Amino acid sequence: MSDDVEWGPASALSLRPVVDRLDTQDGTVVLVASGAAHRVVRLSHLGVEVLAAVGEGTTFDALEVAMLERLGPPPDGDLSRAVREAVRGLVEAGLLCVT
Amino acid sequence: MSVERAVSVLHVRALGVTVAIDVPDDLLLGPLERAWEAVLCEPAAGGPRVVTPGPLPEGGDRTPDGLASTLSHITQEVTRAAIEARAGQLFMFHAGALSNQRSGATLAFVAPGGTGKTTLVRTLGPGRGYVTDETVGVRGDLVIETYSKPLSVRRPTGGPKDETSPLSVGLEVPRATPWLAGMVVLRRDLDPGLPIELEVVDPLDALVMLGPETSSLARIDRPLHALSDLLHTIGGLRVVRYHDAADLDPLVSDVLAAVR
Repeated sequence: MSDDVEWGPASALSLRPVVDRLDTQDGTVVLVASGAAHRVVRLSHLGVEVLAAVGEGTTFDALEVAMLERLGPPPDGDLSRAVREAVRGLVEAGLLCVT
Repeated sequence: MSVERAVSVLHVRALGVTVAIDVPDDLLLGPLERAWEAVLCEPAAGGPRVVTPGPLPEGGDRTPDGLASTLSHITQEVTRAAIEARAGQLFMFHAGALSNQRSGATLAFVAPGGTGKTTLVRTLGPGRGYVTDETVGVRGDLVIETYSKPLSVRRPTGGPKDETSPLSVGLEVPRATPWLAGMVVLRRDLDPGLPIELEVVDPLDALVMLGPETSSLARIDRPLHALSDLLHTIGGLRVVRYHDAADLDPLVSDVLAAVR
C-alpha cells in the first residue's frame, strides 16, 4: 500500500531490509538496494527514531504513541501529521512498507 | 559445404581484467585496434567476452557516423563487462583520473557522463598518467586498477562521438602503479574568469553524493563502512566548482604531489 491516502490508524508498518547502515555521532546513512540499482539515504533524526520504533506489524496508532514517548509532542502539536510525513519519506526511500 | 570464417579477437585490459572482444566484422578490426591501442594485451583465461556486430548486410550504415556509433557501443559494452567482472571487488566510481608518473599518486574526479571528465583528461593529462576518463576502480588498499580506454571525443560539427586512442592525443598510460590520493566531485558551473571554488563535503553527505556515481557498491562487504573508511583515508571528498578545465591544474598538481 504505497498511497498514504489509504493509510489508516490500523495500517501496519514494517521495516524493509537495507544493505548497510552507518551510524556516527553526526547522523545515519543507509544503503538501500532495489534490483541492480542502489541508493544512499541520509536519515533525519526523526527518521532514525521512527525506524527504531517500528517492529513487525506496528500500526500508525502504536507508532504515534511510541514517538510521543520518545520525542514528546511536535512543535506544532500535530503528531499524526508529523508521523505520517516521516513515514512517507521512509516509504519513498525504500526503508518502510505499509500494509 | 559451409566455410566458417575465423573471428578476430582483441584483448584489452580494463579494471584489472582482460576483456576479449570478438570482432567478426573485419571492417571494425582496424578502427578498434587503433582506438584501444593503449590497453591491448595478451589473451587471458576466464575474463569477460564482448561480441561486436557481425558484417553489415547490404544497405547497412557504412558511413563514418555509423562506424563511430558502433565503436562507441563497443566501448560501453567493454565497460559494462569489466564492471560486472569486478563487482564486489573494487569500489568503482564514475570518474576520470590522472596520476603522477613517478609516484602513482592519483586524483579521481567524479562526474556523471558528459559533464567534463574527458575534457579534463585531455586538457591536464599530458605529462601525467591517463588512468581513465570513465570508471575509476579502487581496491581496498587504494591501488587503482586502470581503465585507459579510448576517449569519446565530441566532434566540433556534432554527430556521434569518435572513439579516439589516448596515445593519439598526447596522453600516456600510467608508468607507476596508480593509487588514490584524492577525490573531487566536478561542478562546471562557474562563469568564465572566476577562480575555482573548493568545498569540503561533510563525511555523511559525501556518501550520499557518491552513491549515484558508483557501480555495484551494494556488492561490496559492508559498503558504507568501507567507503567511509576509504574517504577518511584520502582526506575526505571535496566539490570543486570551475569553468575552464585548465584552471584545475594547480589542484591536480597539489594532489598528485602526495606521498604514501
